[in-house]
Amino acid sequence: MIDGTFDQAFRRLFTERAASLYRYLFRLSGDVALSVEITQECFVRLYRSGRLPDAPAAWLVSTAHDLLHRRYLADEEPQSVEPVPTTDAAALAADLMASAHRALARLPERDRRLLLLQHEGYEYRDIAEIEQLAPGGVGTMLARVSDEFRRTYDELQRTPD
Amino acid sequence: MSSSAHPTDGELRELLDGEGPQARRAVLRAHVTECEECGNRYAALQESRAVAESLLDLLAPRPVELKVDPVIQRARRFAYLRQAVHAVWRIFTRKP
Repeated sequence: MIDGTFDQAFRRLFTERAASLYRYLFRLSGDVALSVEITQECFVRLYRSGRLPDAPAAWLVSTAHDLLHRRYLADEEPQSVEPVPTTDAAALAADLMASAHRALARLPERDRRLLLLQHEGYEYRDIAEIEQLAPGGVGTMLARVSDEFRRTYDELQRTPD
Repeated sequence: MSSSAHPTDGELRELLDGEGPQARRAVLRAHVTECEECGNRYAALQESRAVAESLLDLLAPRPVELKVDPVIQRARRFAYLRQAVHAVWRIFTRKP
Protein backbone atom coordinates (compact mmCIF):
# COMPACT_ATOMS: atom_id res chain seq x y z
CA MET A 1 0.00 0.00 0.00
CA ILE A 2 1.33 3.44 -0.98
CA ASP A 3 1.07 6.07 1.75
CA GLY A 4 0.83 9.82 1.34
CA THR A 5 4.37 10.45 2.55
CA PHE A 6 5.83 8.20 -0.11
CA ASP A 7 3.57 9.73 -2.75
CA GLN A 8 4.79 13.23 -1.88
CA ALA A 9 8.43 12.17 -1.77
CA PHE A 10 8.02 10.41 -5.10
CA ARG A 11 6.49 13.48 -6.72
CA ARG A 12 9.30 15.64 -5.38
CA LEU A 13 11.90 13.24 -6.72
CA PHE A 14 10.19 13.18 -10.10
CA THR A 15 10.29 16.98 -10.26
CA GLU A 16 13.95 17.03 -9.27
CA ARG A 17 15.29 14.16 -11.37
CA ALA A 18 13.06 13.23 -14.32
CA ALA A 19 14.21 15.94 -16.74
CA SER A 20 17.86 15.34 -15.85
CA LEU A 21 17.51 11.59 -16.37
CA TYR A 22 15.81 12.22 -19.73
CA ARG A 23 18.61 14.54 -20.89
CA TYR A 24 21.25 12.07 -19.76
CA LEU A 25 19.56 9.21 -21.61
CA PHE A 26 19.11 11.28 -24.73
CA ARG A 27 22.78 12.18 -24.89
CA LEU A 28 23.63 8.54 -24.34
CA SER A 29 21.18 7.08 -26.85
CA GLY A 30 20.35 9.89 -29.30
CA ASP A 31 16.73 8.77 -29.23
CA VAL A 32 14.02 11.07 -27.80
CA ALA A 33 11.20 8.50 -27.69
CA LEU A 34 13.38 5.85 -26.10
CA SER A 35 14.72 8.33 -23.53
CA VAL A 36 11.21 9.40 -22.54
CA GLU A 37 10.03 5.80 -22.34
CA ILE A 38 12.93 4.66 -20.17
CA THR A 39 12.69 7.71 -17.90
CA GLN A 40 9.02 6.98 -17.28
CA GLU A 41 9.61 3.26 -16.82
CA CYS A 42 12.29 3.92 -14.19
CA PHE A 43 9.85 6.03 -12.19
CA VAL A 44 7.04 3.50 -12.64
CA ARG A 45 9.31 0.80 -11.20
CA LEU A 46 10.30 3.05 -8.33
CA TYR A 47 6.67 3.82 -7.51
CA ARG A 48 5.74 0.14 -7.65
CA SER A 49 8.50 -0.65 -5.19
CA GLY A 50 6.69 1.53 -2.65
CA ARG A 51 9.81 3.02 -1.07
CA LEU A 52 12.63 5.34 -2.00
CA PRO A 53 16.11 3.79 -2.19
CA ASP A 54 18.97 5.21 -0.11
CA ALA A 55 20.48 6.91 -3.16
CA PRO A 56 17.51 7.57 -5.46
CA ALA A 57 19.46 9.39 -8.19
CA ALA A 58 21.96 6.55 -8.49
CA TRP A 59 19.16 3.96 -8.39
CA LEU A 60 17.32 5.67 -11.24
CA VAL A 61 20.41 5.82 -13.44
CA SER A 62 21.38 2.20 -12.72
CA THR A 63 17.84 1.07 -13.57
CA ALA A 64 17.92 3.18 -16.74
CA HIS A 65 21.24 1.59 -17.78
CA ASP A 66 19.72 -1.83 -17.30
CA LEU A 67 16.64 -0.97 -19.38
CA LEU A 68 18.75 0.69 -22.06
CA HIS A 69 21.01 -2.33 -22.39
CA ARG A 70 18.05 -4.69 -22.65
CA ARG A 71 16.56 -2.50 -25.35
CA TYR A 72 19.82 -2.39 -27.32
CA LEU A 73 20.13 -6.15 -27.06
CA ALA A 74 16.58 -6.51 -28.38
CA ASP A 75 16.60 -3.75 -30.98
CA GLU A 76 18.81 -2.12 -33.53
CA GLU A 77 21.44 0.57 -32.95
CA PRO A 78 20.30 3.92 -31.51
CA GLN A 79 19.19 6.66 -33.84
CA SER A 80 21.56 9.39 -34.94
CA VAL A 81 21.09 12.80 -33.33
CA GLU A 82 22.52 14.59 -36.34
CA PRO A 83 19.95 17.19 -37.47
CA VAL A 84 18.99 18.23 -40.99
CA PRO A 85 20.34 21.77 -41.58
CA THR A 86 18.08 24.38 -43.20
CA THR A 87 20.35 27.50 -43.23
CA ASP A 88 24.10 28.22 -43.21
CA ALA A 89 24.01 28.88 -39.46
CA ALA A 90 22.04 25.71 -38.94
CA ALA A 91 24.50 23.81 -41.14
CA LEU A 92 27.41 25.08 -39.03
CA ALA A 93 25.63 24.16 -35.82
CA ALA A 94 24.80 20.74 -37.29
CA ASP A 95 28.45 20.23 -38.19
CA LEU A 96 29.58 21.06 -34.65
CA MET A 97 26.92 18.80 -33.19
CA ALA A 98 27.87 15.96 -35.50
CA SER A 99 31.53 16.24 -34.47
CA ALA A 100 30.58 16.40 -30.80
CA HIS A 101 28.35 13.38 -31.23
CA ARG A 102 31.04 11.40 -33.05
CA ALA A 103 33.66 12.33 -30.46
CA LEU A 104 31.33 11.16 -27.71
CA ALA A 105 30.55 7.94 -29.56
CA ARG A 106 34.26 7.13 -29.85
CA LEU A 107 34.73 7.07 -26.10
CA PRO A 108 34.42 3.72 -24.34
CA GLU A 109 30.92 3.27 -22.96
CA ARG A 110 31.82 3.76 -19.32
CA ASP A 111 33.84 6.90 -20.08
CA ARG A 112 30.87 8.27 -21.99
CA ARG A 113 28.56 7.62 -19.06
CA LEU A 114 30.96 9.25 -16.60
CA LEU A 115 31.21 12.38 -18.71
CA LEU A 116 27.46 12.62 -19.16
CA LEU A 117 26.67 11.96 -15.52
CA GLN A 118 29.04 14.69 -14.41
CA HIS A 119 27.60 17.01 -17.04
CA GLU A 120 24.14 16.43 -15.59
CA GLY A 121 25.42 17.43 -12.17
CA TYR A 122 25.61 14.04 -10.48
CA GLU A 123 27.88 14.10 -7.45
CA TYR A 124 30.96 11.91 -7.23
CA ARG A 125 29.35 9.63 -4.64
CA ASP A 126 26.42 8.93 -7.00
CA ILE A 127 28.73 8.40 -9.98
CA ALA A 128 30.86 6.04 -7.88
CA GLU A 129 27.81 4.03 -6.88
CA ILE A 130 26.39 3.88 -10.40
CA GLU A 131 29.68 2.84 -11.98
CA GLN A 132 30.87 0.83 -8.98
CA LEU A 133 34.04 2.86 -8.59
CA ALA A 134 35.95 3.93 -5.52
CA PRO A 135 34.80 7.53 -4.82
CA GLY A 136 38.45 8.62 -4.87
CA GLY A 137 38.81 7.38 -8.45
CA VAL A 138 36.04 9.46 -10.01
CA GLY A 139 38.08 12.67 -10.28
CA THR A 140 40.99 10.85 -11.89
CA MET A 141 38.73 9.25 -14.47
CA LEU A 142 36.87 12.48 -15.23
CA ALA A 143 40.15 14.35 -15.74
CA ARG A 144 41.28 11.71 -18.22
CA VAL A 145 37.94 11.40 -20.02
CA SER A 146 37.47 15.15 -20.46
CA ASP A 147 40.97 15.41 -21.97
CA GLU A 148 40.23 12.46 -24.25
CA PHE A 149 36.89 13.84 -25.36
CA ARG A 150 38.39 17.19 -26.19
CA ARG A 151 41.34 15.60 -28.04
CA THR A 152 39.02 13.37 -30.07
CA TYR A 153 36.81 16.32 -30.96
CA ASP A 154 39.82 18.38 -32.09
CA GLU A 155 41.03 15.48 -34.25
CA LEU A 156 37.62 15.17 -35.88
CA GLN A 157 37.56 18.89 -36.59
CA ARG A 158 40.97 18.67 -38.25
CA THR A 159 40.19 15.54 -40.24
CA PRO A 160 36.43 15.22 -40.72
CA ASP A 161 35.12 11.93 -42.10
CA MET B 1 48.39 15.15 -0.75
CA SER B 2 51.40 15.58 1.56
CA SER B 3 52.87 19.06 2.04
CA SER B 4 55.79 18.26 -0.26
CA ALA B 5 53.85 16.40 -2.97
CA HIS B 6 52.01 17.79 -5.95
CA PRO B 7 48.31 16.92 -6.26
CA THR B 8 47.24 14.34 -8.81
CA ASP B 9 44.99 15.14 -11.76
CA GLY B 10 42.18 13.44 -9.85
CA GLU B 11 42.67 15.73 -6.87
CA LEU B 12 42.79 18.79 -9.12
CA ARG B 13 39.64 17.66 -10.85
CA GLU B 14 37.94 17.20 -7.48
CA LEU B 15 38.89 20.78 -6.65
CA LEU B 16 37.49 21.93 -9.97
CA ASP B 17 34.20 20.11 -9.37
CA GLY B 18 33.92 21.30 -5.78
CA GLU B 19 34.13 17.76 -4.44
CA GLY B 20 35.78 16.61 -1.22
CA PRO B 21 35.96 18.24 2.21
CA GLN B 22 36.21 22.01 2.31
CA ALA B 23 39.47 21.99 4.31
CA ARG B 24 41.09 19.74 1.75
CA ARG B 25 39.96 21.98 -1.08
CA ALA B 26 41.47 24.99 0.71
CA VAL B 27 44.85 23.22 0.89
CA LEU B 28 44.67 22.26 -2.79
CA ARG B 29 43.62 25.77 -3.82
CA ALA B 30 46.54 27.27 -1.93
CA HIS B 31 48.94 24.84 -3.60
CA VAL B 32 47.59 25.56 -7.08
CA THR B 33 48.02 29.28 -6.47
CA GLU B 34 51.63 28.90 -5.34
CA CYS B 35 52.88 26.13 -7.64
CA GLU B 36 53.17 27.20 -11.27
CA GLU B 37 53.29 23.63 -12.59
CA CYS B 38 50.11 22.62 -10.77
CA GLY B 39 48.49 25.96 -11.60
CA ASN B 40 49.07 25.28 -15.29
CA ARG B 41 47.72 21.75 -15.03
CA TYR B 42 44.70 23.02 -13.13
CA ALA B 43 44.05 25.59 -15.85
CA ALA B 44 44.36 22.89 -18.54
CA LEU B 45 41.88 20.66 -16.71
CA GLN B 46 39.56 23.62 -16.32
CA GLU B 47 39.72 24.29 -20.05
CA SER B 48 39.13 20.63 -20.93
CA ARG B 49 36.09 20.55 -18.69
CA ALA B 50 34.76 23.80 -20.18
CA VAL B 51 35.19 22.47 -23.73
CA ALA B 52 33.49 19.18 -22.80
CA GLU B 53 30.60 21.07 -21.19
CA SER B 54 30.16 23.27 -24.27
CA LEU B 55 30.18 20.28 -26.62
CA LEU B 56 27.72 18.35 -24.49
CA ASP B 57 25.48 21.42 -24.31
CA LEU B 58 25.29 21.23 -28.10
CA LEU B 59 23.80 17.76 -27.78
CA ALA B 60 20.93 18.91 -25.59
CA PRO B 61 17.65 17.23 -26.51
CA ARG B 62 14.53 19.12 -27.41
CA PRO B 63 12.58 19.69 -24.21
CA VAL B 64 9.72 17.32 -23.55
CA GLU B 65 7.04 17.57 -20.91
CA LEU B 66 7.40 14.79 -18.39
CA LYS B 67 4.35 14.43 -16.15
CA VAL B 68 4.25 12.55 -12.89
CA ASP B 69 0.51 11.71 -12.80
CA PRO B 70 0.52 9.37 -15.83
CA VAL B 71 3.54 7.59 -14.32
CA ILE B 72 1.74 7.08 -11.01
CA GLN B 73 -1.44 5.94 -12.79
CA ARG B 74 0.57 3.39 -14.78
CA ALA B 75 2.25 2.08 -11.64
CA ARG B 76 -1.11 1.83 -9.86
CA ARG B 77 -2.73 0.03 -12.79
CA PHE B 78 -0.03 -2.60 -12.49
CA ALA B 79 -0.67 -2.91 -8.75
CA TYR B 80 -4.44 -3.36 -9.29
CA LEU B 81 -3.79 -5.92 -12.01
CA ARG B 82 -1.45 -7.84 -9.74
CA GLN B 83 -4.02 -7.83 -6.93
CA ALA B 84 -6.69 -9.08 -9.35
CA VAL B 85 -4.46 -11.89 -10.60
CA HIS B 86 -3.69 -12.92 -7.01
CA ALA B 87 -7.42 -12.87 -6.14
CA VAL B 88 -8.30 -15.05 -9.11
CA TRP B 89 -5.41 -17.37 -8.29
CA ARG B 90 -6.64 -17.74 -4.72
CA ILE B 91 -10.15 -18.60 -5.92
CA PHE B 92 -8.93 -21.29 -8.31
CA THR B 93 -6.45 -22.80 -5.88
CA ARG B 94 -8.82 -22.79 -2.89
CA LYS B 95 -9.38 -26.22 -1.47
CA PRO B 96 -13.00 -27.33 -1.33
